[in-house]
Amino acid sequence: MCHRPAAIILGVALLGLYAAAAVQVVTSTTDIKSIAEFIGGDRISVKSITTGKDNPHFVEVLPSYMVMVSKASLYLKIGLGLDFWADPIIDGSRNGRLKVADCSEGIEVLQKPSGPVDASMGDIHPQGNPHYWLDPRNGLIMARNIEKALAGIDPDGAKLYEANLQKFARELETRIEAWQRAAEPLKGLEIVTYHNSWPYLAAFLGIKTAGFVEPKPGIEPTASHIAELIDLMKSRGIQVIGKEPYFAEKAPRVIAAGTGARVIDLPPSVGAVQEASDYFALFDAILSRLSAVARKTP
Amino acid sequence: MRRSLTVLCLVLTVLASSRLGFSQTTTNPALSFIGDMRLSGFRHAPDTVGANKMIFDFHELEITAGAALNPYARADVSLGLSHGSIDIEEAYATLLRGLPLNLQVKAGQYRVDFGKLNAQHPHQWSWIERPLMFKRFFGEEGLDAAGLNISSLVSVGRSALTLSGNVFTGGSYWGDSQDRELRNLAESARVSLFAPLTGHANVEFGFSGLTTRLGDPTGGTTTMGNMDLKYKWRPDMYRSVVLTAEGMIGSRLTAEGNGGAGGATRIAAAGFFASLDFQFHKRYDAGAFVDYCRDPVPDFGRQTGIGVFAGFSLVEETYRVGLLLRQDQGPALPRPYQTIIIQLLWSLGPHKPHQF
Repeated sequence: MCHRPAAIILGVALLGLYAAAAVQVVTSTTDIKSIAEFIGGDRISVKSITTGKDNPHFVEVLPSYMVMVSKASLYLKIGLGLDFWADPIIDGSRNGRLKVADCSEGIEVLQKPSGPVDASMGDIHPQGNPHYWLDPRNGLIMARNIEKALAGIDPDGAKLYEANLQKFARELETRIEAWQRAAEPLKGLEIVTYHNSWPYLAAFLGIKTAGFVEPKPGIEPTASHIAELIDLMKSRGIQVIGKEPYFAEKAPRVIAAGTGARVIDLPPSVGAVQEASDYFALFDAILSRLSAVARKTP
Repeated sequence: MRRSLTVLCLVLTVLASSRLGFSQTTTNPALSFIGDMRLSGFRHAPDTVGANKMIFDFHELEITAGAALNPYARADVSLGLSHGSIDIEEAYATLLRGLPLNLQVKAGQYRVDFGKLNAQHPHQWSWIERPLMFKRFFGEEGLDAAGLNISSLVSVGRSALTLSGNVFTGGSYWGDSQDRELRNLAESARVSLFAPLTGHANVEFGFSGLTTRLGDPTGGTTTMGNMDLKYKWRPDMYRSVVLTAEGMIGSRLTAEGNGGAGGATRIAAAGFFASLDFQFHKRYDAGAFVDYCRDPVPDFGRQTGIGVFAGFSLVEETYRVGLLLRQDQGPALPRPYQTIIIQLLWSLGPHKPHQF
């Protein structure tokens, strides 16, 4: 009986050792974190720099992020220039054993600029649109990249990662079919969004993005642009304005007042809204919100 | 003839290295230009401060370049072009990773992390001008020196403890003294703790110390201490509040008379700066500050500045218009004087996320 406290302490200590032994992974975004958790299971411990509620284009370089990365074995980036802020965090971590993997490897990138790019075009990404995780078919490519990276740093877990990848692929395939069926009524729907975050989702669902609240990527809406957008929406009967939750409501509300359109918060990442709790739930949340507003649209 | 041969040799070297693969890697440093154009003027200012009229002044063009040298190290250069002169503000290489104890080593000419503000470039500040204490203790450009910095990052729960030590030569102490240029080695250290308070608020405390022997014949010593605080609340990208406060004390022990035979004199000085900056829209911010310095130089003495500032950033930090209104007073000034600065700051080059 008197050994019970000692056993508990030993158990806790062993649990601590087990936790410490897990492969430490840091990701730029919650979407990669979610997929990595599917692939790594209990063998890995994953932390994300952004929470899903943040604009992933602008992240302040905090020493606490550097500390987080200093303990990690693997950093998973979105790539395509979106998480350029990850580089000073990685450099600041001083971590010599850190492997960095880019999840965009193998992605068919949309909206690659064909000519020279400069700041007069706004905050445009020279390597193409980086919001590729919003097509769930790209989720499988990301998962393969993550599995490869995990197996590279932890060969002992390679079989588990491979098995989990197969499981994830099967689940994703089933979900994709279901999402595509659910999206049938949305086909051809024209919407306006705040930022150009949605070309991959539009390609997947068969919807069209007719315009943006931002006159150019990253540029605050102007009165003249809002007026032009109202005219465009009226002329084409566009009734939906999709807004990433981290953008202000003011400009979309003004446009909605001028057009009778509805404004919805579209979650661009896991954690952006409460129900988008993982990568699968993210698409459930997006579809549910789009379908709800489409049903109400005459 | 000799010049042509030199150019020819250089061209041949470049061609040979590129064709024969002598060049290990091709590096394209991220190049940025930051222009600082001002319309500024004074009212009731003494001649030592400036003319009592409005003038246009292309204050500075800062050119920065930085890139990885190899997987373990990077180099950064910052040149300041101001009124026809070029100043190497910073030029250093940093060994980023691969060292034990989470160490990083930086060597070259750099802004010493004595306090938080000294290590920053003025274009990062909404209050436009360098606080008085840095100007009086270290000169117009603050403390930048040639030396070696070793730092380590330690995890304290979710917080980050940074330990940093410097050995350097250069800089200046007690702004107007005869022995501005330091010729002996100086040592400084800083301990700072960064702590995330909530998902939207962070705080950082820092303590720094510096000691050196003066380069003048008296051979006296200078010791200095600094305490800094930064608090930032940023619930979203449209609002933020930043509190910055920093205080500095210094003590200089000089040996009077020839060779110090006449006994020692201790000269003390202190400074303080605090600012509150409120971003009330994505593109607008406004705030106020207090700036104080007690300097041992007799014709300077004590000076207190208070002021307000406001800024409009068209797109992030690429184009910012700033306004500064400040009033300075002190026993050594015949009467309080006012300063107005309208600043146009532009940044041409790649995005650079600022560290907290």
